[in-house]
Amino acid sequence: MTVIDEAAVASDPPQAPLRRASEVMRLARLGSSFPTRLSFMRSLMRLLAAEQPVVDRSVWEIDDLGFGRAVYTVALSGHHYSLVAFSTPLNPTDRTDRVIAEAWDSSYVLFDGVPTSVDLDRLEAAVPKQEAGRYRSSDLTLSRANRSVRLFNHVVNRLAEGRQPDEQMLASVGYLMRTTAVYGNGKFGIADRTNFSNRPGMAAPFRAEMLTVWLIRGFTLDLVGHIARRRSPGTFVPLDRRLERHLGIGNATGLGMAPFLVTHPILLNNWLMAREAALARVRAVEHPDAESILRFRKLVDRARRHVAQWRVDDVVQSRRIATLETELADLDATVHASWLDRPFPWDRLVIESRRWSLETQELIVALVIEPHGDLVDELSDDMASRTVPHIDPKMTVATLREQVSEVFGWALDIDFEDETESSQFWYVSEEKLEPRLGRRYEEPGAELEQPLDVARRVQQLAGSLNRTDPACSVASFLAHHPEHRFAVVRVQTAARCPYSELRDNLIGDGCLPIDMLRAKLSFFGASKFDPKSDRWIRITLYQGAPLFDDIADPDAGFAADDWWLPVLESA
Amino acid sequence: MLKKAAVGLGFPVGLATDVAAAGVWLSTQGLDGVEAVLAGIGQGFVPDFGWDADGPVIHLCEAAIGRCGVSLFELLATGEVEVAVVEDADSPLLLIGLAGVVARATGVGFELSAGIGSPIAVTANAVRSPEELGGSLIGRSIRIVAADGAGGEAHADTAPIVGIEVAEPQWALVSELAARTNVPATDLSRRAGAGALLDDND
Repeated sequence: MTVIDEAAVASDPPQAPLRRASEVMRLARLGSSFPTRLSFMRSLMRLLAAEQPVVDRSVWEIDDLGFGRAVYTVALSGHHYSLVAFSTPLNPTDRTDRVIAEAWDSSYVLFDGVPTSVDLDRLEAAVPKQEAGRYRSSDLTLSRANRSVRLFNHVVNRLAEGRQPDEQMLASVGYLMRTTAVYGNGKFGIADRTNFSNRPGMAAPFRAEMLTVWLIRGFTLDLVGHIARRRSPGTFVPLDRRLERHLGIGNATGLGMAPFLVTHPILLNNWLMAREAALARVRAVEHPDAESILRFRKLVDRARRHVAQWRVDDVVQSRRIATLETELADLDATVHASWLDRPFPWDRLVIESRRWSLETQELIVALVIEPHGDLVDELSDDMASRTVPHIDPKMTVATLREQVSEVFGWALDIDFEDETESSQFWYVSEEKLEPRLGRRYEEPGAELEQPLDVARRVQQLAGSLNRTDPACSVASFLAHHPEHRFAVVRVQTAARCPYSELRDNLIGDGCLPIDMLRAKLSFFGASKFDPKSDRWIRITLYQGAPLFDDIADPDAGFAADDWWLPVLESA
Repeated sequence: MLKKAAVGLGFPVGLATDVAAAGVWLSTQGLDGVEAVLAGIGQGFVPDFGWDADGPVIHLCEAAIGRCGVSLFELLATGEVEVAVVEDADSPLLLIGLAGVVARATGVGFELSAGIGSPIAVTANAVRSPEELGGSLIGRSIRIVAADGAGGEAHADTAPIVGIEVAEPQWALVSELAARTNVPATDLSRRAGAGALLDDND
């Protein structure tokens, strides 16, 4: 396989051809992505399940109303990491998931090691202030979360009354708290990722952030139980374990995630390359064993029940889910025993799926990968990137022109003079640096737009290249045209990394930022995508995932890696 | 922040990226990358390269390193230019940082000499005699040549920065310049720009 940073391994299993970047990297398809077993939460859970660490709640200074501080420490691959959690009163009128919020129900740091009381006092002074606090390199992530207005108090009330929560409500929300930001990699003075990414267990993308969110989930479950018990010790009942497992952590996500995919092209390539290589390996399986077939059949059934429980208010997404339900029924009918017995069933299914919607096609990609852990899980080791895009100054202008045509040909025909093709601009607001999207011809600020107009910049580069001696070097060209450095590095990188570029115009009317958000979130492992607008989405993380003691002391037969597309089973 | 600061001063984003990378590279060497970048971008972006080519030799006078430094090293790396002579560089230290950035991208190392002592050798991950840097080059004519095959590992891992000290005035300046890239808030922007209501929650 072709992954930057890593050489191809001679003993790689056979694989079918990769899907073309011109197909994979379109926004509409990326915006139909589903989590796979390579997703970052899944690979973390597999590591934890292999190591079976105990999560130690060493500090629990929480009052009867649920306010105070707590510390959870876990050992991962030889290092200790501690979630330091602060739960604080919040005026309901201040509760907003927007970046411009100034206060939250809870706030967190993932601390490197075990904090002392001095560390805790320092963090207590800073963390509830979030971006306005001061941090050190011992602080690996910074996060905050708000209580679900719909579910948090309902669960507390029910448990205090001695009853379990309403299952329909629990299933429809799916979480007790929603994170509204999980910052990492040097933001606001916290540790750069390079400080710890060489440690065992921490190389995977967003590993520290994923660990943080899993620990937050455990904290929210402890918190509702604590408040309910303190409110009514005589009648309190603990939350049913089945329901606990189905509660994940919500996340409200806006435009901040979208530019990440553009500003990290090699990383994006490596994520997609791992997934596409996994698919290609699975498609090359000529005769699956009986166990894989059985597992696949069960997963089809689970996928159908998961989708049946996926309900959103958004009209467009509701329509897509309805189509998905119909097409999954069609799939179920198609993949009967004799159909699966014929050679290369997974390859045939991927080809067959082209008659269905993009949602169904991409769900099938995740579905056929899922039963093949032995074949594909190693690919998750290739998803990080330690390098940054760089310019090859020795290349000739002629070669660069060829690369532009080859990898950005789709961008050259866009008419940016047409206002519909340049109607939007991405920017950072001075208000808490909130990422926003503006209407170029109606709002001020376009002169300060962020460089997400990659297609337009490459088109401008192509114009300049056409007026330059083809034998000229890129170094010489850029000495005279420094304004094109950005576009040159995009082109040269895309020529080496086929999945590094989103192949759509990101400033035109046709760009829906939620497609970019969903693409990224699916790699995290999120599910139950719930669009709130064309640029704002809610999701659930870790729904169905192992709880703390599922990891440390699993029940006999418990499968820590079997929570793809979770379903709330009846009692 | 350094990249944003350079963009705030009018630098094209690609150039700003390399200048900021040079600041980071210097910091990994224990050098003052922030001060080096601020000195090298302080004049703002000048479109003209300002070189005087004489065959394989380039002369740069009153050199604006933020503008021309990276191209200088790239031209040396290609072999199109054999010698670069830089006079009155506004940020000699940034020159070294950019040498490191280009060495990392190309695997070609560089030697900088100012007529005193031994040349300063820059590779992808190191600069020799860092304690002599900066002061030894200020106000001098700096002669630069490529040291092919001595650049170290191209695309090498980025060295970690556990934390760097930045003087308060420097940080205030970087923040002020970076803030120039942010769009002033309006009611419309606040209401519609993020795609969520002001009181979005559930």
